[in-house]
Amino acid sequence: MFRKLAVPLAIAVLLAASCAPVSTPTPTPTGVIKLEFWHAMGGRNGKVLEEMVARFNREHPGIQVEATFQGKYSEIAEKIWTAIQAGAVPPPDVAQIGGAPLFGETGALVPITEFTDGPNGIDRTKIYDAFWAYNTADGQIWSMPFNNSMPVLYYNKDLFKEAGLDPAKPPQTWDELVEAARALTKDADGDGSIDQWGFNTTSSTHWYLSAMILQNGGRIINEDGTRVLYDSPEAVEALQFWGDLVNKYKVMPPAQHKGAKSDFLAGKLGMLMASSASLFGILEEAPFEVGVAMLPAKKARVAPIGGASLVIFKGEESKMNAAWEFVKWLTSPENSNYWAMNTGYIPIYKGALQSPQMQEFLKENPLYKTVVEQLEYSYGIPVFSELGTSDTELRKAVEKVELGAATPQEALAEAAKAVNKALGER
Amino acid sequence: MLAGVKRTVWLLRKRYRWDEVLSAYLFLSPSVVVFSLFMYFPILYTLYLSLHRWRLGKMSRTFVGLHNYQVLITSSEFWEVLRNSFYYALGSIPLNMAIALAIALLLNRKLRGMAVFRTAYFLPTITSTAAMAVVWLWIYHPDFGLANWLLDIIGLPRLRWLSDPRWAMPALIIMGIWKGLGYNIVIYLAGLQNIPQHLYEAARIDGADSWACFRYITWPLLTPTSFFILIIAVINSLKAFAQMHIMTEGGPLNSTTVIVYYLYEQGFKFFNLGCASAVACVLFAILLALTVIQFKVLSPRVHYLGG
Amino acid sequence: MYANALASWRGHPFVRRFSRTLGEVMAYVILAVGAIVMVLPFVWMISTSLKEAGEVFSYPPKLIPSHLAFHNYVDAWRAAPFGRYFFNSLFVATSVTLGQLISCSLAAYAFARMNFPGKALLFTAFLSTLMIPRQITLIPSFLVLRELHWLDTYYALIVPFIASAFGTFMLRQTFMSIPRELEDAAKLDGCSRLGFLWRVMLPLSRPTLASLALFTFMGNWNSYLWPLIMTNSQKMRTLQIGLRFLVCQEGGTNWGMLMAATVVVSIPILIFYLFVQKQFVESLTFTGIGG
Repeated sequence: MFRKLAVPLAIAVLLAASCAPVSTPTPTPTGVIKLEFWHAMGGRNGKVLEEMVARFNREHPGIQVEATFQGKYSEIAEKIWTAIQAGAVPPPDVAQIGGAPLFGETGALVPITEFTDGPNGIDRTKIYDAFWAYNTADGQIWSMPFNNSMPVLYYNKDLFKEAGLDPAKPPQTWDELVEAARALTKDADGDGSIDQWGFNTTSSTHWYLSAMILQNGGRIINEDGTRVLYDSPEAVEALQFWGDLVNKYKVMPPAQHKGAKSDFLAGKLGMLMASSASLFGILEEAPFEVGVAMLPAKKARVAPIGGASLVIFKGEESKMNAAWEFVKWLTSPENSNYWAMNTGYIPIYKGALQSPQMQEFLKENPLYKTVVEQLEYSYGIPVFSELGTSDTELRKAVEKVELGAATPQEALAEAAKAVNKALGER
Repeated sequence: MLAGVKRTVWLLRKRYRWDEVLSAYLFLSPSVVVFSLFMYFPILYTLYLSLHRWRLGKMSRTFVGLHNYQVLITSSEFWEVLRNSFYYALGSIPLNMAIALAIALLLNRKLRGMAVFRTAYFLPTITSTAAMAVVWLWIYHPDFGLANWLLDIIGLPRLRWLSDPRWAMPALIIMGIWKGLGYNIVIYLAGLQNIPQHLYEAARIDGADSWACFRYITWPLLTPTSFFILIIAVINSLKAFAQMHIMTEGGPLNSTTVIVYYLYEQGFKFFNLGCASAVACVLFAILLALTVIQFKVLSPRVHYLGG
Repeated sequence: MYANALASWRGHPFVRRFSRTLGEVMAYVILAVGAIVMVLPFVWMISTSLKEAGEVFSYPPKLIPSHLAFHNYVDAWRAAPFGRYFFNSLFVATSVTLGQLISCSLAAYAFARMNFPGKALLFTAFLSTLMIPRQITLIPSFLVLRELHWLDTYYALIVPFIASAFGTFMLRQTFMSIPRELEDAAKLDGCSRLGFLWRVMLPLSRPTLASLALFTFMGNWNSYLWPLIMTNSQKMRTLQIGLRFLVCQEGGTNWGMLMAATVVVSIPILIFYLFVQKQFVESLTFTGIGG
């Protein structure tokens, strides 16, 4: 039977191969500049992006952008890095990358300030400083802010009511957070183990810890990016508070961040600290009433930014200018708001809250208001060369404290030491 | 010296038939060509990289000789990683092989519904990683997961599974066995099919019972298959990565950081490509040594019908 | 004396039938329990694919959705150019499978039946290709493919996988189990080596070939990272990448749609498996000498 099939199968495959269209370049009408745009947006966000790109192409017949999904930020970064390694010019003209400034060192990027401060530029002061800080490395702004998010506090209004808490008054300070969490942590069936937890965070614990450190007056990295500063007393206090949530007040389960979001959606978690970008997804998937609050404050109210940016690669002059046209369009005030409203990422322009489109939108999506209001307190931790190491070390520090394997002092000292050593070796 | 060469050539001529040698090389050539480009070159490239200090983002590499290896050998973290890897391997291989063999034997009968069961046992290999992750995260959930529910019924204390440095690895071992069982069952089934039926018939006529059949016919004639599965299992278990990446990210407290995860962390999180390359070379050396040892020790005990 | 009694008790027809039935029942029970565990995630996959967004994480987990959301499948199919992706995945996986079957059969035959200088060394060299984690081969392979100008073409997805030490090893074991007398007899009949391989060895190794084909097809069908890195354009995309496109980066995942798409992507493998399964059921009539 195998024999009988093999030959026809082989012929079929060969036929298919000969018929299969090889990648033929689509003929470009003369004068039209074609740009390749690599992005990491999938799902609903991906659709919005593609729709926006299509709109751009319609409004700009002289520039045609082809947008392709290239995987997660790390995967795009790997592809681009590999191309640079091989001595090739990376294929895309524009790309969306997380930690974009890190590529500045490779020499393959054109600093975005070349365009923003040039003849066809924009007024940089109209965008929150935090976003520019986030795109700076070694004092140079490399990339254009595009899709950013901040951590926010989601909470289950139904569980709040059950616990006797006012769903319209989510905790505003660290102390209030503990109070609320205690009320929400329950052992419903009395079997000795907790069935409902008061508070938890998703896996990006380094981000949330950074938020708390900043709120407590600490800093993450020094001015010139040569030393991390999270072995300071303020930072240790922040981690101590985190550890207390787990070990002293027992309102957060230890080392259980992977399933935190599912727990929240299943109604088993009272409050969840997660990215603002998850807003629409959570609203869709939660069978209960969801509330959104700003991060509880300590000495100050601070929300660190995360997300990705757009970079333009070195190439032909006409292509680069066309690329900037595209980037400028995509990040214009109207489009930035449109993007934010449809995806849950945050608008980057000051005064976004006041714009008529936003006002309309907020009428239908009042929860989003909190997100935009938190923009006032946004902070951009500058991207530095050992960011990957730093994030990982912070997460490990959190884990150690949660599991009681180290004191906050020890954990942060170790983490800082490791990262500073790596920074030093550079 | 010429006499020595002449003698070697005469010996070679006697030992080999040259048309056979030519055919053999011909048959091997497609594989060798592909391997050279996409396997051997990468290994050599990795070896080359391992002798440099190079971080992603910097354009220049500095030659540091054996420095990376020195750092590895003296780092207690790396030894912990090795321990974790062998823990995983020793935990999964025997169980995996034994269970796969048992199930394959059961499935090999011509009982009704075996096709359904066979498909059921193969499904884990088809299940998407995303779905697998969600379900197993739920199974291992400390508060309301299936695993703890089972423990409750038996009366044993609940475990924190993936959140507990002592139980995370056993949890992943179970998951690994679950995922890999289907493969081994299929391979064992193929091996069982290769055993000629008439041997069993002859044995039964001589009055052998099931156990004797297994001991004197099935097991010996399955040794080629078992040997294959063992070699592959050792290599694959020491190369394990996916579960550690999806379920625990190497934690808690590095308890599930195995060699390939450590490699990934060094290379793609810390951007320390020189170190990652060194880890890859160390892994390669370990696997090569283990495989050679297995061949030398076990090969003589494998029964090939072909003789 | 006891041994005799035991033997005669054992041999009693009633006891024999009872213990055989008991054995069968036990077999069923064990298999059934195991099967439930094996099947659970897959069942969850299908169940979720038919759920509305709000029901996915309800606790206790619902096996049967209260409202069958078939639109998830429609949405998933519409979400990306699955038609083209499907063709790509099918073409690549089939080519790789055929390529491997051919190259592995040839190589395995050489290792199993031929004698040549450097045999042990070459076999070790073959096996050593299994010892390299894929992550490490990505960047160097990218460099090679770039030099060959094969990036973003089918060649990049097919050629590197045409050879396999796993397949070679597996077939070698099977070939070595085939009696030498057959080969000697064939040679006497004037059969060429290739002829012997094609007419005798391969047909006798059908179960192994079938499992190799299945594993290779599946492995290639499911591969994600390699096609992602080695191709850029939409027209070269495979199903797995299209699938990943359905998952949001930071925001919420539409689990219902994602699982629907996953189920659809898994169907060809299931079909392939069922087709290959028949190879195991057909009992092998042993054409040979003696017996």
